[in-house]
Amino acid sequence: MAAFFEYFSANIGTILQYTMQHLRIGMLAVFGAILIGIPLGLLISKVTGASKPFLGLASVMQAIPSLALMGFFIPIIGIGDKTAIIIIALYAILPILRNTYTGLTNTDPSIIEAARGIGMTEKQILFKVQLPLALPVIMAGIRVAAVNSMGTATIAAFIGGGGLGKQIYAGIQIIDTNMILSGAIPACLLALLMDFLFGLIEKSLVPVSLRVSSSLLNPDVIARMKRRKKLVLSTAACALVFLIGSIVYDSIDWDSGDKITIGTTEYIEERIVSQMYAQIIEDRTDVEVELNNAMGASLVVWQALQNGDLDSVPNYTGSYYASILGLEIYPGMERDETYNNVVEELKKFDITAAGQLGPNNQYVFAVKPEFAEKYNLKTVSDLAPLAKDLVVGCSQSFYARENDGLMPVCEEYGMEFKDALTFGAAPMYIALENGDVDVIVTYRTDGLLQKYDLVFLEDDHNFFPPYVLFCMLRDDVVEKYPEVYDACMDLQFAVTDEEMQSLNYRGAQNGEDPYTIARDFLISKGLISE
Amino acid sequence: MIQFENVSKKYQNSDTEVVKNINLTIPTGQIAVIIGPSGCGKTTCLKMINRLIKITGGRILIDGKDIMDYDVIKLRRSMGYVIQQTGLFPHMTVRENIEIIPTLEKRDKEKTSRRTKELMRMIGLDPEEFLDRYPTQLSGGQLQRVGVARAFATDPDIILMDEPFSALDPITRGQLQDELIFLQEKLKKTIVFVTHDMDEAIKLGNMICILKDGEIVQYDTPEQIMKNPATEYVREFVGRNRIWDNPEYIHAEDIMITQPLTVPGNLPALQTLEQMRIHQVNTAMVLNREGAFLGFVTALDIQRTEDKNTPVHKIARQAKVTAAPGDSIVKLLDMVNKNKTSLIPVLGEGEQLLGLITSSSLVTTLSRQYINYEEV
Repeated sequence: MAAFFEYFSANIGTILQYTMQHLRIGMLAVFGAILIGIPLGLLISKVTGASKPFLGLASVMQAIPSLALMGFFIPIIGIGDKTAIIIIALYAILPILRNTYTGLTNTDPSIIEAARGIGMTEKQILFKVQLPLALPVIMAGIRVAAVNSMGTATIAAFIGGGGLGKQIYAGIQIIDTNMILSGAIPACLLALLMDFLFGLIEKSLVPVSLRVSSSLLNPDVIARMKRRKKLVLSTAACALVFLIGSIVYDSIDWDSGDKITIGTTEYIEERIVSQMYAQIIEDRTDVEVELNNAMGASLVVWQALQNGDLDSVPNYTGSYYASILGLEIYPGMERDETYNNVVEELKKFDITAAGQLGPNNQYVFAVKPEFAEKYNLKTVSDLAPLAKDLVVGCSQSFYARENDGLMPVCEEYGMEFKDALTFGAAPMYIALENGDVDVIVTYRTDGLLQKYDLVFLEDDHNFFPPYVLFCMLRDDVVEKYPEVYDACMDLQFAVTDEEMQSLNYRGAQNGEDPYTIARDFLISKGLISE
Repeated sequence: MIQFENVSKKYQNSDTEVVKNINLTIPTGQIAVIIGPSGCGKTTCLKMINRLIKITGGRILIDGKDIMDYDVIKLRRSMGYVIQQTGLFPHMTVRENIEIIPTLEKRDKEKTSRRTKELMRMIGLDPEEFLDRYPTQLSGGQLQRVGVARAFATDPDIILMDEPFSALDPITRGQLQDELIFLQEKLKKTIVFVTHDMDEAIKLGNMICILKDGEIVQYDTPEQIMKNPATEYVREFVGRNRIWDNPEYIHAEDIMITQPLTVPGNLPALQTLEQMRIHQVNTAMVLNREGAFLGFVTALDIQRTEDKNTPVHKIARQAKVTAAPGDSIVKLLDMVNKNKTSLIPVLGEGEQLLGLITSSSLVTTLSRQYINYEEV
């Protein structure tokens, strides 16, 4: 507990910044959902037969996993906060839409008939009668949407956006409970705060006679409600202005200087490597580098690179070879050959490869030493006969890879595991420690390997293609800033496998900042000056 | 004036007409009550006037102009509308409810507010106490009073009332009926009032329209409906003894002996006595040459007269009291009591004798309700 507070107070600045981002993402999503949900609710309550398809569609939307929605939206609208906001807003629409519809259609028919009979127009009936009477129900929907949105806003970090999700994912990455909590607790508090704030707005908007029991209604109460209504509504209006202002502020490109963006997943190695490239570029050129280290998966990063959200991406040949570029893998691939094939293929996408960094971070099967000893395991072929009684753990992306993932490797070795569980990078190790899985598939340079002291099983069929770290630049960036390409090339073969593993170890075990790790390394190698 | 001309209503997907060929004229400044059992089409008729229900045949004219030629919103705003469930807006105060249409029309606030207060007083609610209350804080009777006030707020010529008092307890209902009568005396609106309660219809209506299965069975004054029901259905619907709940509708002309024995004033007393014997009565009405009533004479009076040739007008006695044909039975009984008389001539214009009320004719009439009662 004390450790948590220590961590929290030490990182209060970052956490506050993430909290503000989080709030903004959630609020914008709710605001967008209100702007869509309420008018749509009005519409389907008026147009006969429209309610079923729209409510059905909204329910289906709610049922689609957020990961799938991300996969769908990133190619279309790219990465970052805006995509996150759209996805969160889509989830928030259903409660608002449904409650608006329910609220409007449940108005006492005799009241509507009276309104019509005394000569109110349909519009007046809607805005003066139905809507005020439906407000308690609509506001309840908005409250649910607001609370949900604050919770789901953590996914923004998964697709390169900001918010407390960044803190949480980073914490999961290096298995740091304090870090995870320092993201999760403010996120939870924000959700509660939203519930409270929207509760206040609800109380101000909903006509007093619909909330307060008639026996308690007296002139004093009514006057107090009116005063409070003014206060809360003006506060809400200020918040809205602030929100819109922040969007406008963000949409203006204040920084007209030269700037490129390097993006990676949240994986610690990629974060360190991206820092190396960023620092060498800033050291050698006048181009400013912005880093985006919180993207969900290689595919997300690739799409962002293609649509120009990102200018540069350090990644692995193996990640691209088969599953992204569609090249055919074969046993016994050489690393230079692999790299050259990838370079050629990337040209088709107007991407330039800017040199190999050095490490080859291949997939590898790893087990606990005592397990290897017990069964005398040295190679994957040794593992194959036992597989049917074993549970394997691996990353989601490895599990899904068509050409060099779990299925193909099992086929190659003629083995079938009892079960396969997928994890984010770090929890897999915990699962292995706990005995939830017997064997894991990890990367050769993974720093956590040192922390957990595992044994590699040799890929005796030479099945896994080389995972050579290299840097990609968009052609238009190379054209505009040839010096950036040159700077990247300065890192050609600058890092060995062992160096990389220990750098990762610093990041994963000690929770050191990737910036410092990269900087220390580059200085020690004399690549940049202090 | 509201005129229905061959009005009918047929819903889509239905073969039967809910309202069939209605012809009805509701005179300006009067209350017309539409009454009938549920499903007879009475509410449909009402809602066709403000076009809440679309007419499928015929037309309705207001002051000679087809309602379809009015702008529907203007048409509705030119009429007040009160419904059974009050239809008050729960999120608005009493004042906001009453002033909703004036506010929407951006009428002068000062004037509107003055009228609202005036209306509140007329319907028996203290404006100071009630204007800023919400509907949830009012009783059923108070709510419907506000509903009525809202209908009068724009000072429309026509008020439509759809069973406005049906949900209220009998005492409150009576009070609201009285207040409506009071309002109507002052404001003289054309009111179309739908009810299923015959007592209410007779109390409020200048005219009553009885509907059955979408058709008018009888459209007449309450009196005629009670006295001369057009069909057995009306008689049943009105109730045989309904008239006894409203004795003011039983008039002298309804119960008088229409052919009492009359004699010319110059007839000698002896011959008058002879006439009495022939007709087996002991009283004769004495008339002058023009048929005007001079007085009455009894057999005893003549026997006491020595000169039996005296013209009868000389011994005729003045009636202590006379009645007009329209005097109600209540008034007649009162006369009998006050004047200790058992004989009241009913006189028309120019003292013309129309008939005679005697204590025995009163007894006969009054006893009818009990005899009828036993028959039912």
